[in-house]
Amino acid sequence: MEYNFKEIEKKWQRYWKDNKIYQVEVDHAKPKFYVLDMFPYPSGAGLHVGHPLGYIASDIYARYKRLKGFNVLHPMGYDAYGLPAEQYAIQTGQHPEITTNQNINRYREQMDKIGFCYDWNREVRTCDPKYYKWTQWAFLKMFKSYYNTELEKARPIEELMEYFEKHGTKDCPAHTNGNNDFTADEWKAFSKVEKENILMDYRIAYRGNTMVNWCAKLGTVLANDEVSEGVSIRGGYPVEQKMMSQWCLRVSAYAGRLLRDLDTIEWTDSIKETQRNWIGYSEGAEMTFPVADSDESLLIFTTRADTIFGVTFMVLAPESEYVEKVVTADQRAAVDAYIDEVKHKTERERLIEKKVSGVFTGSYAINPISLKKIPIYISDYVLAGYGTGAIMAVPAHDSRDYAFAKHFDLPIIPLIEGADVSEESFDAKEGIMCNSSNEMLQLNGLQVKDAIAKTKEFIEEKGIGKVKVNYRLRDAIFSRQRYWGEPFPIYYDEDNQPQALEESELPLLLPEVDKFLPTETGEPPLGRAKNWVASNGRPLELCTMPGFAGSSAYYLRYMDPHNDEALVDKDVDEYWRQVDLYIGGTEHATGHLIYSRFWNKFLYDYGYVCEAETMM
Amino acid sequence: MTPIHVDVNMVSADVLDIEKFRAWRPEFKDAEFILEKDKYICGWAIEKMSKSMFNVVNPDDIVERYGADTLRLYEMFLGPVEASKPWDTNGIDGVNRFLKRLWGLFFNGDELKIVDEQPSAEELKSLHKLIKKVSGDIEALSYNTSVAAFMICVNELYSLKCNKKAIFDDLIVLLAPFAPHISEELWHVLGHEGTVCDAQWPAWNEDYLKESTIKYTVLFKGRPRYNIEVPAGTDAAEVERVALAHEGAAKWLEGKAPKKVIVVPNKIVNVVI
Repeated sequence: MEYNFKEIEKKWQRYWKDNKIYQVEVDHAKPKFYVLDMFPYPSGAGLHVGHPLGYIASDIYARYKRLKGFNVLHPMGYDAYGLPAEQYAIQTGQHPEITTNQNINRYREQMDKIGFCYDWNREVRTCDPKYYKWTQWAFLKMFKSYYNTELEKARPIEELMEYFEKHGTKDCPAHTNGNNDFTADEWKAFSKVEKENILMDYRIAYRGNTMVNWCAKLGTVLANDEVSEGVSIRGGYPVEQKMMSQWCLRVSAYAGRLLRDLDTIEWTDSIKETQRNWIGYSEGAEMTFPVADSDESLLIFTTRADTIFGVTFMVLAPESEYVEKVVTADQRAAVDAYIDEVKHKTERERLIEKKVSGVFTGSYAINPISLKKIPIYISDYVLAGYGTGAIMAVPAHDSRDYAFAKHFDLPIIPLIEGADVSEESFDAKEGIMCNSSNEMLQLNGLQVKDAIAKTKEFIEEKGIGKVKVNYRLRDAIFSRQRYWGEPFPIYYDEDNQPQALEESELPLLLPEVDKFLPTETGEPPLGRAKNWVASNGRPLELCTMPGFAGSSAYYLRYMDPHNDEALVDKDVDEYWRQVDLYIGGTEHATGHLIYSRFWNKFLYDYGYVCEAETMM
Repeated sequence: MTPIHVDVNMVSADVLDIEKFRAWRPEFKDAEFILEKDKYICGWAIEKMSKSMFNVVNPDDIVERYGADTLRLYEMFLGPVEASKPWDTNGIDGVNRFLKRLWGLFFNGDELKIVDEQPSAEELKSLHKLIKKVSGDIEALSYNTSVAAFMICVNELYSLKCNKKAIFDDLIVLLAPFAPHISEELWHVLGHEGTVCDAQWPAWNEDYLKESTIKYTVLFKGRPRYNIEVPAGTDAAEVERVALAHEGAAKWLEGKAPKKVIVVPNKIVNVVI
């Protein structure tokens, strides 16, 4: 008898299917093991030989664990929303659902031939209304929540309103991107719209003004990696930095927990390190610099409070709200021209830019400790999203400040004994302080480490500033001006304020449109849908959610994919808990793998899931 | 002359399918191919898979030509996922040959060779070495070394002419995660009911792994002269006796009686003259 692989493989694939060999249920008599593959975006090209590599590796592990007596959950599905299907739809008029389904069928056929032990009964597709109902549900929960910094978890927004009723913003333990300051009485006196606007500064899913890469020609916001040298990668159309009102997720509120809990998971050191850097913890001081001859003051964040005597100028990000407040009439034209020039660079390009550029605002600030008058500049090496968008520049000890000072011929004062700053800055955080004493504060002779501590103590004591932890991690921009994505369960009321749909109205189905392009008036494609209104007749949100919305909780839905009552049943979740083995690329380390950890923690805060982390 | 990159799907065991090539690149329709023994042998280079190098292989094609089990084993045989991988078809043939050899251990023509007899110590050793290796490798996600271990074991079982059911019962369970289809088939050939997926992963027994014989190097005047083999656990006196009973002993003793014989356990016998 010959080894007839064709016959054998067909025979056993049918046997496995007919006998539901890979179907798995909760079984308390057995220990569980959850093996997860990163689910694929079903592209038109199908699988090539490199793709199944990870799937085969995890399949071997899943089969091995089953032979060792474990009850193994090994599911597969499709990350089905995405740009290629939409672009294809724009070019051909073919509905993206049709191409997506064709591609999914092809993927399935290819995977079936390889003999994977997936429980296909648990398949999920992010574009399936039964699935995205729960994506929309989680979004609604986030919209209706704020982050309590004392309890370190998400809580219902009503609790925050109660707090405002009683105390106003005084000692309010809530994470915010706003600058609100009001009393309980003021709160009570605010109009409905004023209250709504304030609450928006606290909601975990919120509409906020944020700097985006806007491509007018494509009619959409683009991600950083979709832009190069001021033009869109696809099509080569001009892209500019624009402040736009977008839906955002308050990921930054979770920065501390996302960082801390990395220690509880068994990922490779390289992925953990990538996430650590991305979250970007720094402990420093927030300090106020009064603006000379003005009531304004600049709030800055620094990790090097010890270098206060070396601050010889200030720099604002071009997008900083301070810009408008400090620009003098003489400098107005020069500043406007500069800001216009910067608009065409993405943040990433600005970070790697070597060429020094900037413009003087015409105003001066007062160094709160040396009391010297120092000029305020604008430059694109300062980013709006980091800290306050304003920095104190210490050219002797920071290379970017140094380059700027050399270019604009500003003073450079070395603060460490023996540091030679004639050719470059001395960036190391070590040495003995000099040029750093006056009648208020004496740092000369101290080690850098001690000088930092002493300065922090001093500024807190004198009320010049306070010690603060800062993170690089930003809130996630959550809206796309696209068709092929999850619609937001949001409508706009008579005051044009966003309001949540009822949970019972989910899923809000993606409507049909005649073309997959923006409308003639520049609105997103959903602007073409007929009767795109809520049950009360009010208009629905026109943006859709980004790709990572659907992939943020798919591993949870696999546990209980047919449940109409909940994302995942409590008992079922308590059995499968979290992923034990995950095989997926490291390219998602700063995207999907951070967002899903955030999403999971949010659900964990309310007890919808029993593990604080997605994976072991 | 610049080498031409050809589509790997037109090459089998380094031999180019000339007709396919002519159809693919019409400018070579009338070209003369310089053949070696009627074959056009291609050179090869290790490249990352890319369309520009024509070395993108569609998994369907491999499944069609060799089967899914070969594809699975081959992909795992390639080593760590990050490394640049050569898509030489020789490797695929090698993995495919391994599965055919395994099949050949079961069948002689249409006749099933397997018997229900007690396995020998050598057979058990080969199997248990494999169990230990594969169990450790899977836990470490180091599959390429597992595939190599399977090949070694099947070669050993060939040399031992092994046809013992007890050996294959365990071997098939070990192979099932890697090559589930052929394993399922052979599992049933061995007389089992139900799926191999629900079998039990075997444990290895350290006792079987012990070397059955020990090789000693015998030294005269500090120089190695010959080797002897004794059963494991043989005591020093017996090792000494075997070493001196060897046919070479007389020559190197040069007619003298040994002053002293030092036996270093499991290693050497030093004969001092």
